[in-house]
Amino acid sequence: MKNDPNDDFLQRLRTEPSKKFLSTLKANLDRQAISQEKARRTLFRTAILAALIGGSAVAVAFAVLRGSPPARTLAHVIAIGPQSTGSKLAAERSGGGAPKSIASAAPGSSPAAAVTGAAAERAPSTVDQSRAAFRVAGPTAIVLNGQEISRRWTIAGSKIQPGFTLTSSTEALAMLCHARLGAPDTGSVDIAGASRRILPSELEHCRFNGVTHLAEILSGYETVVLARSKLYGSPKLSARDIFLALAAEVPDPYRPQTLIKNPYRTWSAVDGALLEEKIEILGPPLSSATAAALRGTLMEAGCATFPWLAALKQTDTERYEKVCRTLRDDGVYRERGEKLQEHLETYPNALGLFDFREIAAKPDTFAAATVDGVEPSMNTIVAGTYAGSRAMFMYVNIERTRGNPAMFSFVDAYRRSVEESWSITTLVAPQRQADARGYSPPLQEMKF
Amino acid sequence: METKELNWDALYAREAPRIYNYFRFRLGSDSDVEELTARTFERAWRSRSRYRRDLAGFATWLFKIAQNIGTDHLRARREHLPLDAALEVTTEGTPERDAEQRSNLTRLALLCAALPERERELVALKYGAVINNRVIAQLTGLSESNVGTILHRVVQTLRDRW
Repeated sequence: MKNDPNDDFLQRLRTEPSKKFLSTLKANLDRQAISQEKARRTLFRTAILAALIGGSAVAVAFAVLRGSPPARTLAHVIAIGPQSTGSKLAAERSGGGAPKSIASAAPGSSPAAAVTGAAAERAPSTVDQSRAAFRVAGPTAIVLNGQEISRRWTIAGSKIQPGFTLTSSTEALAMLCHARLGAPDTGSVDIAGASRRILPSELEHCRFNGVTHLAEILSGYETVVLARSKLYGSPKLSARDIFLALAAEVPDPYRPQTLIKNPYRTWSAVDGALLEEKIEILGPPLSSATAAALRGTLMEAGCATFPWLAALKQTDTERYEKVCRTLRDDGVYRERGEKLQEHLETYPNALGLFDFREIAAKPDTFAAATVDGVEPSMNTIVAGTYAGSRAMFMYVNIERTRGNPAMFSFVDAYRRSVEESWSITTLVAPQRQADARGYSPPLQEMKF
Repeated sequence: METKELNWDALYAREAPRIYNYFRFRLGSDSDVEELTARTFERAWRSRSRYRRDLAGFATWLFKIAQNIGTDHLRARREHLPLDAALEVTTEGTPERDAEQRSNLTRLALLCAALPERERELVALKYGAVINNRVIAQLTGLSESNVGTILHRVVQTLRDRW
């Protein structure tokens, strides 16, 4: 370093660490490297062994299945249908609140290998299609999950698929309660998804319209996580920090109850206790279910820390939605590329937006941010203490189910997907923990 | 990736004293410095297979780890600056020189306490870690010229009060 005469007093403060310290640390690091190498070799051997055993099992299963009647042998086998339904659906999602119909999967686009099972066995061999059709409306996560399930769990021989409508929770519940039994109206649905529980007023609306038997299914928890590379440890953020870092408009610190275009570029500008680091967040497209969940959880929670903004929810819903749920588009939030992991390892200030399952699958790669001191975990999600999570519900018009075997099968499959924890989208399946929060058990009818 | 080409032994020999001094300047004492230095290298060594030489300079990568460890440590003990805890650690100098350095380090800590967090960090990176302004800019998100300007001003201030 070039010496400036004026800074001699600082240069002189440097000193050499003791040789004993340096050699002891080096020895520890060498030992660590050796044990890591051993662990890697063990993991490699285990993976090879697992692959051999797994391959053998698949071969045996395949041989058995080929010689047996499909309806019985495939009772618990899930056929994998065409992938990337999520991205297709997400691309179709509009920014507005108006419901948007998603065409039912055309028979020709159904999975090549339909799955039959206990549900299929209950279905009649020939199905009256006009009678079997049913409709599902709700937010992105519910619709994505429902679409995937309907593709994987097709009624044997029927080619029947439900119609899906992407819309808000409130609109979906209104559409559910809009129907009078047997009325051939066009605006109603048989199943509604929601990111909250149904309200008493909505139940009353249902009853008024003759929809008197609903079932509630806790579909899972939509959970988002901000994380950086494990190299750098867990960021400690608040929901308010996240809102101020990501919202398109934020409160003007100098003029109460006034909004300004988000000026914050560093975390320390958002909160003086944070580092002077550039805000950089990489996540899925804004139209994705994960980005929608970010807006509906962390952003809203942070927004609600400003009382005058929280009050808008009651007085001016449209403005509330715009302020609390609109992400900035000035490049601070960017769509993540394929090399996200490498990017996060290289740039310690960069954060990734993930759904919880991505993070849970890679605990050695990413360090999840705590939000208001709470780390995302299954316990905090189910307890409702982690701000980045929300429960998702599905409400089923039971009367329609009774008259509709295809719908019954769909609901049954959906319920099982939750219980058996193979939810497809960003939802974290609660497994059997639902009762812990006092929700109705799946498919148990709600009484009015 | 080209991690095999890196000579980790040489990197350790070169960077350990810099990390060590970075923490001395950052904390304003010799207390906890060895522990934080060890923690930095242990974390880096654990993750070294994932270090991408083509994406970041080694010093940038290592010092970012050190920065985070230092920040966590400072947050944990923010309320009190343990100026009197600097007497236990041995260094390679003479007793007289060690004593003088401890005294000066304490003086620096007192002067730096009046500076904003960002300026303290710049001093530690520049004079503790002996990092050039370009790398400091990468580590702090500031422009290189901004780093130079701020450091010039801070050194003047410290010099006047020394």
